[in-house]
Amino acid sequence: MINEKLLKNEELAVYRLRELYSSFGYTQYKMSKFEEYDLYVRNKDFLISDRIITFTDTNGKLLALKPDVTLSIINNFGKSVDGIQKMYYNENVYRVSGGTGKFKEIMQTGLECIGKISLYEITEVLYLAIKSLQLTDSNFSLELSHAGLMNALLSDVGISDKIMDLVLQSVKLKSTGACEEMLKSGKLTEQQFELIKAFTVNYSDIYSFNKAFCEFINSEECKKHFDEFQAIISGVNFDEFKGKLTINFSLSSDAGYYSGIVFKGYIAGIPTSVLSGGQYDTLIKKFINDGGAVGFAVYLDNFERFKLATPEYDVDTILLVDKNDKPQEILKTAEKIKSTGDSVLIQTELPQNIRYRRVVRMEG
Amino acid sequence: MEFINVALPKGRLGEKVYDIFEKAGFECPSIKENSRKLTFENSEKGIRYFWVKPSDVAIYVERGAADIGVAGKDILLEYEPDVYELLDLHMGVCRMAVAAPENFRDDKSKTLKVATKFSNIASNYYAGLCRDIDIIHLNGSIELAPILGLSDVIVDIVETGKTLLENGLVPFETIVPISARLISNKASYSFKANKINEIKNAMEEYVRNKND
Repeated sequence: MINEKLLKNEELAVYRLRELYSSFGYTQYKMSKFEEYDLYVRNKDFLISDRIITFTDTNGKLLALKPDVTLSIINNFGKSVDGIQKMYYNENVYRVSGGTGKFKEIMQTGLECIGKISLYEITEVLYLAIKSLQLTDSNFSLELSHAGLMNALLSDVGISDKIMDLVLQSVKLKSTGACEEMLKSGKLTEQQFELIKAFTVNYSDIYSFNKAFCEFINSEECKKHFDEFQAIISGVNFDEFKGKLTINFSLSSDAGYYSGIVFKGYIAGIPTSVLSGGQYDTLIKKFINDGGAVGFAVYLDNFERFKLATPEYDVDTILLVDKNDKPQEILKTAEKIKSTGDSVLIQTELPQNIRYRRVVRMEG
Repeated sequence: MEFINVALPKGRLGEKVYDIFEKAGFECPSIKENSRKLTFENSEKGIRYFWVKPSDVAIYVERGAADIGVAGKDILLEYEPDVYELLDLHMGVCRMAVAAPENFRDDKSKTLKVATKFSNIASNYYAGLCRDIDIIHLNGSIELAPILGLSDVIVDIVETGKTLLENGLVPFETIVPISARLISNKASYSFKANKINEIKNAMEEYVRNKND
């Protein structure tokens, strides 16, 4: 039996998440800390940052400390996947932190579902992402988007490649100012501008999402993605989460390698996202012949700041002893205190920097 | 009650920005009192303001100490914080420009020496032009650099161009127009979208009416 009081926030989260993923039949995937640098050079687009810690191995090969787990997992599959592979991991990765610009060790846990995935597997992964956040804290928020739907819609209304970067940047920042200028100068049509504006709004119920986009769903391609997105969000009972789930297309414009659903999770009290994932068929096709992939990662480096389990005391009981007390008697008394569920710290005098609930003196 | 924490930039621009919040219906009278307080709140409106150095606003917002704030587009382009840029307030309007002595001619056979406080903006601009440059990062008195031969050109904010002119410099190219923007932390927006949008929409309406 694990005493959860002893676990740090991130350890407690890992423990609960591993339990959750195992209960859905995901098996743990353990990998080496190092990977050949070449793998990351060939797939730079998939990485959040192309800055990687490298070193030369004794045989002259250039190795890297893993900046990402997903690439290593799919790289180890070979050219084909037997059916559908479901696995989870708990690894440290090494990336440049956005805030400081310095390398940082980040504890990351997550899961991947690779192979001939169907609508069910995509829904299951999204469901597990929601459950992961729920397990960590009830005050969570998960934002969803669909990269395939967004790309199809932009292509349908005829956004040209020339202005695509600017349009995606506007959606990413939720800022329509630059697009308004383009509308005024005739570089965007009224319909194109209305679509971009619709992309910058968050939707917390399916009805308002449908209302905003139904007029733009015309082509077969759009309908295919729209129906898939609808089926996934209905599959996780989107509307029953009452505001905890939100459709936010700003996510899609920020992650080029996703081809289908994209999502990001937040926990109240942590200023950055703690969960990120989606369907990345385009990337997986570079590695295996036939199949798709969906997965997510939970970033645990911010959990230490999260005030979930800050105890009031460092130790429950201080047991004060003196030099004449016999060691076996001290241990016996300590065990007696522990049997009540208290933690005990044995000292000869009261410590200054430790918070304690009570003091017990050894009976002479 | 759920509060919205607002980081305001210290100084004259900040005072004008606060006026927009006030006119938009999110007033906090205590902010105008002469006191040593660091934070000011109106619990009825659920809003709390604090003044920070203008270049720090984006950091406060990105790190979640403030839910929203007002920062110049120059700071947003230079530091690229991971925030939403919800509204252009059309205040503090100026431009990021390349300036040089009047007789300057760009010799493309040589590396261009560029002095600036905005290394990221300058690097991105010249990378887009495929121009080889040497960035000289300075923290102030940028105009001095070409005069003393430290650099060929400078990349800096130009408002009226008067300071440049007084130092014998002229703006050659505009890199990007600059103005104050309402920004939001992404996690805060995820949890408090309704309240943040209420503030944004009220401010947008006020700014639009004022500019019409």
